[in-house]
Amino acid sequence: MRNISKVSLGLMLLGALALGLSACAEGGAKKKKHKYTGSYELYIAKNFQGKDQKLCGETKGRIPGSQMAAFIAAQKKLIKYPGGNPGNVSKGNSKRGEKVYTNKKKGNCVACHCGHPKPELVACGNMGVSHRGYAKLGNTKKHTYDYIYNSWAKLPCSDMIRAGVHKLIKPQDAADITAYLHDKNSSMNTGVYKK
Amino acid sequence: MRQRWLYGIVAAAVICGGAYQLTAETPDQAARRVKDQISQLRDGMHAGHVYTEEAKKKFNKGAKSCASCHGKDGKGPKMSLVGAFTKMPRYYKDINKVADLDLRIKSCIENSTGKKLKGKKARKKVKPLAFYVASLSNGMRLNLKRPSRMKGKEKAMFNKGKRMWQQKSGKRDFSCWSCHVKNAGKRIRLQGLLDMKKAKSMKYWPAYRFGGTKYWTVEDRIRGCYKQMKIKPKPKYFKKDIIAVEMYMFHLSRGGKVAIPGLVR
Repeated sequence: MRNISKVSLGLMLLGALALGLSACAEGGAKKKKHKYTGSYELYIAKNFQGKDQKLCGETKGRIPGSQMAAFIAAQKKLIKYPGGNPGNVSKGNSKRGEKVYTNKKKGNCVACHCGHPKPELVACGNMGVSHRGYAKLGNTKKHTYDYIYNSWAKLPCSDMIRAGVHKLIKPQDAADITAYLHDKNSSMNTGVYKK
Repeated sequence: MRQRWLYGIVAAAVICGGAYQLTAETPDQAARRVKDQISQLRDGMHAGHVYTEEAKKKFNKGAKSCASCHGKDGKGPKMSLVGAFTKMPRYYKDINKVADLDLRIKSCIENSTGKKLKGKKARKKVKPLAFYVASLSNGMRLNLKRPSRMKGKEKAMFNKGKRMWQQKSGKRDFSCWSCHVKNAGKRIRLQGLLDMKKAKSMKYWPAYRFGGTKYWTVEDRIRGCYKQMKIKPKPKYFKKDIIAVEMYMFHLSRGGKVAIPGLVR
């Protein structure tokens, strides 16, 4: 009798384990599906809106002066550097940067910025400024990097997409774009397109 | 001798003209060219007109149709629908809701038939009628009630719409306001951003979109906007939030001369 009960117990345990495992596997495989009931406004606020975005939206981008310093400090904390070292900002690849800059699925900078010498190739937008001759402006590379990664750390509530914060590009991508913009021999600064 | 000279000049002109065409146009020129083409097409007849004309048949069809209450073609004499579109969205007593064109038509069908419309079937029934009913107001000016004169549910709805219009959210940090008021007139790639206040764009919705051969009402368009803001899922049809945004858009485009069905990209 004892033996039988032990065996049955073991079997039950095994069964329970199998059930649990299968449940786990299902949970892992299924992607999180967003569903909303009730107010869509509150749903957005809960799932797709940070505190900073809320402040920018409600004030139409004019943050009260008393909150400005705290806002910028919080945004600066969001910036990550390649390899965790701010010194790596200047170690980018200019040629790769050009690819990220023009690629629709990567940086997609050309959606808003003109200046690339072959506009008919990339059909640039004009929501942002032109970048032709950027190297002459005399910005530091760190400034450029920070602006690309998180524009709100430099200009709060700017319309420039915070590509790094939203993980649309990686830190190395941002460093490469920085190199491309600062490189005096790149197509952006010479104005001559090379394939 | 003279003729030879002339020939030379003509040939040179032809070559120069050809070369001019070959040189690539700037993004500005390209965007303007597309815009001009669309505005030329707007003057003529397009697929939206055919769709509206077919909807007119649906309006009058059957023993119990829209026409049995609203008169033939919806022109009265009782409960005329001419000009009804210009005041929408507004509060309706019988359903105790603020309703836009789509919801009003849906609730109207539900009330008269006693059956509830759901899902895709509802859209399929409502859409053509929305085209037709809106087109009855052609030539009139959009005239939403002034916010200062709104009360109760209308006021609440308007304020909600205003909040949502400014709500910055999603992975692109977009709000309706940041593109269609602040950066209006500029381009994202070749797509021009129009100023809702100047263009009064609600005057040509519902519209025919020749990009994908679609017939869209404003609700479809707003859902498209949220898709571009990378927010999932899109807002539900006929619900409060979508109507709130719509209401604010009608507020911005007050005074626009209605020309429906519109033609848009």
